[in-house]
Amino acid sequence: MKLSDNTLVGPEFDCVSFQGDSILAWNDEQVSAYQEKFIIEAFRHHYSNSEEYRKFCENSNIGLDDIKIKADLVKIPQIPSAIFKSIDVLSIDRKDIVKRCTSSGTHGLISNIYRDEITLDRLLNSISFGLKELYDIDINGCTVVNLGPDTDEAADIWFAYITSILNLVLDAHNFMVKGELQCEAVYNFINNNSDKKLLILGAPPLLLHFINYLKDNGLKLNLKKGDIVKTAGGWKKHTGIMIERDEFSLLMKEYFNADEEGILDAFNQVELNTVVFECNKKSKHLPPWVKVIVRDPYTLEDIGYEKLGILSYLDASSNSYPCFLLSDDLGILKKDCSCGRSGDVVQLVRRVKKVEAKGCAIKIDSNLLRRVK
Amino acid sequence: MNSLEMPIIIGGKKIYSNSTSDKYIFKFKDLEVHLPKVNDKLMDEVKAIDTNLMLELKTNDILEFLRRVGMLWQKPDYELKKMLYKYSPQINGQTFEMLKHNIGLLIAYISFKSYLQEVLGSELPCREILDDWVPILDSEVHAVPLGKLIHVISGNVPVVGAFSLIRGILTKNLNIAKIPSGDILTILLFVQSFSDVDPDHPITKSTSAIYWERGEDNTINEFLNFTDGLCIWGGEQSVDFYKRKNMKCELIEYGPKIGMQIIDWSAEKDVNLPMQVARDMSVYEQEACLSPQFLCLKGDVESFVDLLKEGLKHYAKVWPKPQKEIDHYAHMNFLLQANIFVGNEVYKDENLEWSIVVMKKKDRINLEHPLGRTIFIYPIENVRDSLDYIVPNVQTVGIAPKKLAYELRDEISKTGVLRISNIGRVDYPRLGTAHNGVYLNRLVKIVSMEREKEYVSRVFDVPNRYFDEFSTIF
Repeated sequence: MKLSDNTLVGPEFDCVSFQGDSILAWNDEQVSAYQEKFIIEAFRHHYSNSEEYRKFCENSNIGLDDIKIKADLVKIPQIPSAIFKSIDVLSIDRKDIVKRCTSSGTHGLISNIYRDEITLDRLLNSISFGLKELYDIDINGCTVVNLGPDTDEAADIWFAYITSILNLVLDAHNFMVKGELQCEAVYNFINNNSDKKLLILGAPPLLLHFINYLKDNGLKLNLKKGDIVKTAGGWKKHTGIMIERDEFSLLMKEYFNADEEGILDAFNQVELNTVVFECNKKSKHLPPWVKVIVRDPYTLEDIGYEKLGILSYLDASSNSYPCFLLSDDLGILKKDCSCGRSGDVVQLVRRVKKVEAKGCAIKIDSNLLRRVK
Repeated sequence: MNSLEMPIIIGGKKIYSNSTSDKYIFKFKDLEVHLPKVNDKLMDEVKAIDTNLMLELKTNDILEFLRRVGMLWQKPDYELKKMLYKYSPQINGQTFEMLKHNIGLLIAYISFKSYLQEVLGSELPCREILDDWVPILDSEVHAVPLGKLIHVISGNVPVVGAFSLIRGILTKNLNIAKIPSGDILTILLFVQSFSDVDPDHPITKSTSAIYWERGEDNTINEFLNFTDGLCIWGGEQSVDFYKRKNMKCELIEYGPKIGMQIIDWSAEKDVNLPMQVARDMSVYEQEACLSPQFLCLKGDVESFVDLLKEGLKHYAKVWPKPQKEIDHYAHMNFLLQANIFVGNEVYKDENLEWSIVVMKKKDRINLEHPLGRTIFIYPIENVRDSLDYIVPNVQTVGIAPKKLAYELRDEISKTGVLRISNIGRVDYPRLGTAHNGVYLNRLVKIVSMEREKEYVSRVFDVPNRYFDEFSTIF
């Protein structure tokens, strides 16, 4: 692949990213060239169009001329997730917003992310891309059993919304109505469609709820090889019932007859414009438009591969807001994967603990100082 | 990996675990600490401790006992002190220097009988009231202990547990310290040292130090059911946990709270003040409810910040910041980056020993304070503007200069603030200061006996015929 120097970022980005050859087979040079072009272009776009982001860059002593080559990418200022809980950050006119996306507010405060049509399309493309590249599932190539609500009921809540929009690219069926998972309907639907390739999708607490329904009613499913059970969204506020992944897999094997290689996870957070899918070796593969930099918790310097640090993202696919994030997660970046695909894979280890003060101090936060006149 | 087999203490007796199934195991980097569980038999032993033991004592006996405990801890070669210094940094994350400072405070608190007498005198109607019936107008009154007190202690400031326990002892209560998971050794060794003073002393025999975990509802409920008072020191989650228990006993709550400071400053008048601010930020790593997390500053911010940086560097040497988990440093960086985003000025040590955020914008980020020596400075034009920053949960306000404290105290007292302190001395509450608004009178009940009907201590001038209408009553 040769990247053109003078084409517009929009169409070329979409063409190269979503319609080209298998980009998870690219070598390092190709990925580098791609990232140098599109991430830097994205930086220039947001720097020029987002006043808040430009000021952040200025406050960080970074100007347009400081980001020119691949080696400069680590210098791109990355926005802490907390900012999206406090301030609207936009690189477009408000009139172009088509979707306000909010986090689930597990810890009380919600992030607000505003997406335009381009950004939302690319998010959807990242899903199609992941399904195609990692599971060889094409449009109408499988039937999705979503243990979540439809788009209307999902409203702005990010995880529910993102699972509900699968019906735009796949034959998807939603099984949550007014907040209640319809377990019997799920069971019947899966049994009645056993001839199709199935993708059962749900947040871990919902899947566990469904497993408990099967257990309580003495039922079991009989999934076939190639069917996929996909978890996403984490345990959120349901940490009280959280079980380890290995134990969860055992339950899915027992009650779904799921194949180990078909029990997979996906990662996304509302601030990130890409869904990162797991291959059958349980590695989360990054598409080239998302560069993950693992940063030293002390210095924020890039610490490279195989070391635990703060996960930060440069996602070139967002048009409506700067998707350059300093996340709240700790993780490790790895190179390549035994599945044979090239490129970086990311391992999320855990959330940064912003724990309660051990002592009698309460930690001041905006809720306290919001009353300041 | 070293293993430390520790006892719990029940009525002065050391109880060790017999098997692996009846103990808690706390794992630290190079150390494992084992602590026995309270089983039914031990629970019965705790319940059987006689509350009358403490009533046999006169206040002077108590003060003398505490003085002897203080003397013991002053000895450089005291075994339990050596043990505390050896293991505690691994367990509670305190540096040796901070631990020494804390133990010094504790020794100072209990070693002077006259000092504790003044504490009693200032926090009760009079100090004799614990030992005797004291005439007050037409009555004679006597303070009796609440009975059995449980102290749920936080692990942030090692001296806090001992401080709470001593107040329970001073008021002749029977005391049970719940050992904090974040600081297993300090209170345990402190209680253990009572036996080294006198194993048969009523204080030794009426004091216990035990442990339970948050999920052990049956044990917790059983303890809470027989206690007369619960002193809780802790964070929001901990206090809420016990509050939800719907206890019938007296609840004496310390925290969760925050501290702040109000400063009208010029370098000519008080060049040392920023150093004092640095001291208050550093002394308890901002984990205590009295530690300042933000300040309102009238004066030259730039020169203040320069001197504060020097102060923080100085205290990083005096009391080195304990090594914390990487999460703390990540949290600090999130906060600092977020403040850079909104245009606030950020200063930090390269190793994140400390940080300063000068708030240019009033918009705040939805992110908690990371504690561990970070301060927000709000520049103000007028000192009275500082009153707008006193939000609920502010407990301690340090003010300088002193005349400003006199000027603002009436307004401040309407806001819920409970202590106006001197800057640079936040860990030395002065005599007469109530901690979190609580005096010792919360730990006792006042029993009154009215004097004979004929006894009159006050004669009231009443207009003639004033009570005629009510003559049948009087």
